[in-house]
Amino acid sequence: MNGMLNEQTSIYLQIAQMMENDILRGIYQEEEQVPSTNELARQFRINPATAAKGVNLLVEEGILYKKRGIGMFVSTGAVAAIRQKRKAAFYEDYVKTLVNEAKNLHIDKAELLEMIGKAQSEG
Amino acid sequence: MTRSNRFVLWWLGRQGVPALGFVAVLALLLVLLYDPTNVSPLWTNLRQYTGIIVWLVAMLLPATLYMSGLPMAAGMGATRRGFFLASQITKLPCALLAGVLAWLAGGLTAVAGGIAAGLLAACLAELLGTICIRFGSKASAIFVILCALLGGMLGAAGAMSSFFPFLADLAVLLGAVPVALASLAGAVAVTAAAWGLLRNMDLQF
Amino acid sequence: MEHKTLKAQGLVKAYGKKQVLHGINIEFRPGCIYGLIGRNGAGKTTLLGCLTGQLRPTGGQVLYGEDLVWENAKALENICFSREMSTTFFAGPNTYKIRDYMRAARAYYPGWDEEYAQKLVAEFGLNVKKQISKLSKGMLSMVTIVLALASRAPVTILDEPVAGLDVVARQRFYDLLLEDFEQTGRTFVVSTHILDEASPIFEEVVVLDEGNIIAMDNTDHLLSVLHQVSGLEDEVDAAVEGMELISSRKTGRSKTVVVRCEESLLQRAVAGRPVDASRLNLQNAFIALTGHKEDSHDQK
Repeated sequence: MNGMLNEQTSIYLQIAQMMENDILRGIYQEEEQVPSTNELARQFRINPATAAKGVNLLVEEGILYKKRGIGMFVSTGAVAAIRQKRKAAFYEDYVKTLVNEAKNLHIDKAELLEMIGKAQSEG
Repeated sequence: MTRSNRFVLWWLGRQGVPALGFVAVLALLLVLLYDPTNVSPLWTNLRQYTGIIVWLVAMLLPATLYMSGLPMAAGMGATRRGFFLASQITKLPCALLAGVLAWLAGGLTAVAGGIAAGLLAACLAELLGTICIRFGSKASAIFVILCALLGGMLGAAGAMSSFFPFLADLAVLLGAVPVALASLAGAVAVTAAAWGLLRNMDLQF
Repeated sequence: MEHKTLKAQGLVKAYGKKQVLHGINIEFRPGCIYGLIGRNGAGKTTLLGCLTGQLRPTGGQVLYGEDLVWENAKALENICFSREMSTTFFAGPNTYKIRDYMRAARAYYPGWDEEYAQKLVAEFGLNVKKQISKLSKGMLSMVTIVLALASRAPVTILDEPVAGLDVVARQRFYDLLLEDFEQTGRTFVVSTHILDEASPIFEEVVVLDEGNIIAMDNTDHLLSVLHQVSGLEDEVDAAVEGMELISSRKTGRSKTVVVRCEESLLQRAVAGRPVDASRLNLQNAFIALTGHKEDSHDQK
């Protein structure tokens, strides 16, 4: 897992997000071990408690689980769970922002939908 | 307390003993190089004062300890009490050397007086050290001048070299015990003053 | 060696008539890395001096666990205060060598790890036979770090340890600190001016300003309740009404404020309004907190 941390959101949230991204990309497969809290802390030069907070968030959501004495592992079904979670947040994180910005620029609904259609066919 | 004991013993070994040893060897060389057929006044005087020079270095040990060792120790969590108690060790070389010099100058009867006087001198050095770290080098210079004046007033011609013969004569006159007791009383008083300065002092350098 | 909480209660320190610390209440609990930040002259070194028995409090008290720290060897052997050593004595240059300091540390810190010290000295490329007065600023910082880390003291305080180091050496220091913390779990208190580099390392941050603690909080929490809001003056004022104002700046018709407010509350307040709201990094948060509410820089 490599990436730079930004100052816009809490570090522990970024750690959790980066782990999720890596799981989605298949860097960590289900039932595979992920880096320990200390390894994460070392890698990103952050306090271990912060790394732990990020990892614990994913444990609470069932994306990771702990094997006592060994470490943290990716749960079965984690990929699906992450997608589900992100879909629910998609509305808040992306759609609302899109709509607000469109409002600022005086782009009406019809034009917006046309743009979306265009982007989808291009992608 | 034992932490500072360890520190001061190490400090003596690293700073004090080498300094003393160096000066003592120099003094010894001077004595050994005395040429009986070609006696120049300078040479004779130097030879006379070698013992005093060694003693001076020994006397300054407590002052040096406070001025250079205490900042280091305080930075590492030494307590004032512990350091003060441990620093008493540095007065021994001075007291012992003074005793030896007194014996050389005035025989066995002068030894007690010599040791006591040496102890007093070392305590004065300790006070000098604490004055220096508390009030700075200007104040300690004033203190040194005051001591020299006092010493001069006691009959010596401005030079410490007369101090011991004077005491030796005085000892013969009064008997050794009162002189020794007076010096010891002085040593205790001066040490108490040093502790009085030290006990609540801010030690951040 | 015991891991206890180092705390100050109502700590006041005055030099003659001048009061430098005005009733400080602070706690450093075991197993946490603290950042101590403050402007020059805010009283950081005075505070640390009082916490470590070097300076005598004028009022209040400093405790390690339940015991006063003052003149208490048993408590003080658990606390290491490492700061850049002076290159001069009262009479001339500091002629002690690096190894003299290491030897002294061995006498005063029961947990002193000589092997670790040697390893660090080798890594930093320090010549232990060199006199302090002949060391460069970078080397002085490195010695500070070696003494602090090798002391293995349960509470280890480093006063501006990276002041003389270049950026690569600084990164190495943060790595070493985290490595040590992983191994020993001891309390670290690090005072620094280089805030954004270090802030991810600090679990908690203490902000000292003119002798007062103006913030003491989990780093992330502090940064999550401080918000910068900017836009048209009227819109900004409306959005942040009722919130604790930290700082404010006007430039023509636009206004930028920093407020302290729970994140969710702020999201609601700015929703739909044509204002920009963002988090601050530690450096900007610090500047806002210690900028003393310079209210109007009216620039046309």
